Amino acid sequence: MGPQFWDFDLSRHKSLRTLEVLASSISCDEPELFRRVLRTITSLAFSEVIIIYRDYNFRCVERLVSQRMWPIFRAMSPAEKERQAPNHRRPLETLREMHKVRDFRPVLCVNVWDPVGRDAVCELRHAVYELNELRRAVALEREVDDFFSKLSIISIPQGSRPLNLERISAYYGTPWTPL
Amino acid sequence: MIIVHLFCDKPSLRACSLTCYSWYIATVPHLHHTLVIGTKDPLWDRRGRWPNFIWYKHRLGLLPLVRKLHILAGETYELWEITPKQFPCCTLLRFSTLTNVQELGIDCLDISEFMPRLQRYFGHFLPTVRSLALRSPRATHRQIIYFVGLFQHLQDLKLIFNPPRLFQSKEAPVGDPTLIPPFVPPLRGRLTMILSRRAELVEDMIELFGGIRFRSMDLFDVNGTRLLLNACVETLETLRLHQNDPRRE
Repeated sequence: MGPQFWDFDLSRHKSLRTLEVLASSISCDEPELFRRVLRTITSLAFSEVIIIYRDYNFRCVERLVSQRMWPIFRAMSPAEKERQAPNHRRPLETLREMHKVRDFRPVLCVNVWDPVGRDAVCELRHAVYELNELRRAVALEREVDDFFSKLSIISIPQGSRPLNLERISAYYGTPWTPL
Repeated sequence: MIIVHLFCDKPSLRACSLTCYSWYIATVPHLHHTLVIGTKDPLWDRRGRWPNFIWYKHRLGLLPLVRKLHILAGETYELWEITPKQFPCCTLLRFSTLTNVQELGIDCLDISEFMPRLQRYFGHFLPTVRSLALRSPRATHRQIIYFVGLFQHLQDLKLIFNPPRLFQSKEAPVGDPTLIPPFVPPLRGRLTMILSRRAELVEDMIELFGGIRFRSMDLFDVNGTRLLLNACVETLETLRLHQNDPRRE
């Protein structure tokens, strides 16, 4: 087995500013693995960890059970968005664990197609809000943690899918609900 | 200024273009900035497929406005290949009017079939393209490097390979050692390389281009990851980490 990303020694990369991590990676792997990479960084310019969220990280995107796996987007009610927020807690907690090793600015980057964009940003904002509330409750007993106050959410629109979604829906016999 | 803010919102741009002639002039470059052409996938409208879309846009004189071109194989990439057969004279003539493309993406390009007349088909892209994406290219690693070396102002490079095709690739046993790229592109932007098991591709690219200077890297399952990371020690600013990366060296 060759080197895993956590075997990377980034001590020689003196211009390194940013680490990007996919949200799906950060949900599955142990925080220690990311901490190990962070410990090797010696660059003085290092300042940012970006978690990249893709379409499949959000519940408003349903993957069809078929070989082609085309995603279908559906609108979510506000109540549903609220219910989905805890699903994002794991990456945010991992980010916080990583922050114990080294100071950086946490950024959540929503890199999805336009139809998912608004719902996705909304879901993440709610997840961060919920965690902040949780922290405030804990802060009554412990020191206040302002890590999430530095956090920013950015969105990179991928444009509309260059396909006719109604046509895809018809192809698979699955309804598509526009946002 | 208002129109620039709407560049992602095509319905609003279309509405703006109908307001008056000056608004039409302001919106039209944004409306036709990106051209995505599909292949034979049944999910594509017939008009949006190759080469109908090129003909249609050419008839309206819109091809010089295109800054971003992607010829997309979609889910049919296993069945689809871009070869000189897709470029009969009449299509090539229209294709050649795409003279301002800065981001070029081509799926399943059979580079070996275009050799040695690559410039005849892609020459009009060479002065302007800054970002090149090749998904499942059919070529030897030297041919890929040669193709990349044609783009003298290239900054970003994206190479995505698909494993099933790798075993059927037309890899020449000695890797065409005489094939030297005509230019050394700057390559100072982002390198995305996915599922590349050809260590020689990385080694030869570094050697033939006299080192590489990417600022940003996204490497997943790449044979030669350490070489790439070491080659960009001075310049690397952004690195993307992947989950359970099975790369072997």
